Amino acid sequence: MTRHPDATPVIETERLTLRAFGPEDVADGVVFLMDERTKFMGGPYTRAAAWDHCAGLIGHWAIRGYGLFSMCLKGSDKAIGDCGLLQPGGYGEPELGWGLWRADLEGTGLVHEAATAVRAHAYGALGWTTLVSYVDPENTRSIALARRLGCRPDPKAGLPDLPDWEGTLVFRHPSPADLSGAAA
Amino acid sequence: MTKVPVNVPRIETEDLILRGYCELDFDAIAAFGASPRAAFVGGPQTRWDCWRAFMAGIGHWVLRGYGMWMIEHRESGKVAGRVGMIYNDGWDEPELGWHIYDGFEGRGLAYQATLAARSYAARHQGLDGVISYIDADNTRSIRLAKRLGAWFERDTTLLGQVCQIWRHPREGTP
Repeated sequence: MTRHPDATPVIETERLTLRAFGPEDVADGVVFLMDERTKFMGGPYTRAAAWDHCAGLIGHWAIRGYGLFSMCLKGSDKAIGDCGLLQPGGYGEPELGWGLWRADLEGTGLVHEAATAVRAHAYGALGWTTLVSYVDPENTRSIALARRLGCRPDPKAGLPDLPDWEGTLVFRHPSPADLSGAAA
Repeated sequence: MTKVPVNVPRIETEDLILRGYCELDFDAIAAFGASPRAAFVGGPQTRWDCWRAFMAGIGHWVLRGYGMWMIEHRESGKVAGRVGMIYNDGWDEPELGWHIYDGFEGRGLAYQATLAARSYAARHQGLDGVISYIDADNTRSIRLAKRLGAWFERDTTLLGQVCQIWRHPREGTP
């Protein structure tokens, strides 16, 4: 019986190690999901629902072969947030999503660093050509981050066919070609 | 891309195969979740809730080392339900649960599946003399519990719902 999602990629950035969300993250993940700060991403959750959600994040890796990474500060294996690629049933295309578990680390650019690396992983190792991020219209911090990542609103993109998703903003990430053009 | 190995053991019975999950199973899970048949297991559920439960069911195997199997009907190749050990956060103890899908009831298949799962859990997962949470109005499941040799232990509350705890005999106990 495998108890840890091994054989999953590990991404190193300047300040972070990104590894698959796993059993060691459930305790801290549950605390985050029960916090008011998750109000823009379906929370806050009850304890039971939060635990289910964490189990589901592991299941997502198993079914899709990609999923949410835990963001760990270099040299530590304790997650301070999550960032990764999600495509639950009902989604028309995969999403780049993020959540910073530690409020005291807001404004440090760590999520930007993680999201940039995860996007590069999606376009590089996975060979994807586009990505969206779904953001609540009142989530000003995530909207600012999406724009800093070069995303533009994509009103033509359909929303996932899910309850209570009306009004959610769709941000389209720059394509691999856009990014290489920007670098040139 | 690499997939996370979730090693769900495969169990074969006369008519059934208990196995791990694949994405193709989801439509059957969602159909059951949306149907009145799910009334006694927290449903009916939206397709979204079913997806979340599907993902969590896989993650459960990684977190606990056991979980629910998909029940495949050998002859038709169809998914006939789910069965296995569930221990979600906040539960009293691991329970033997079963969902039997439309068209597979009344043929002894549920008995075959639950017996195989219970026996495997006792022999290989360290879970013996387990419980089942059953809604007092779920007469079919209570009948199956009795056929499995289980007995009513006490009333309880699970996720805010009143239900009963039925206790299964330990393996090898006549």
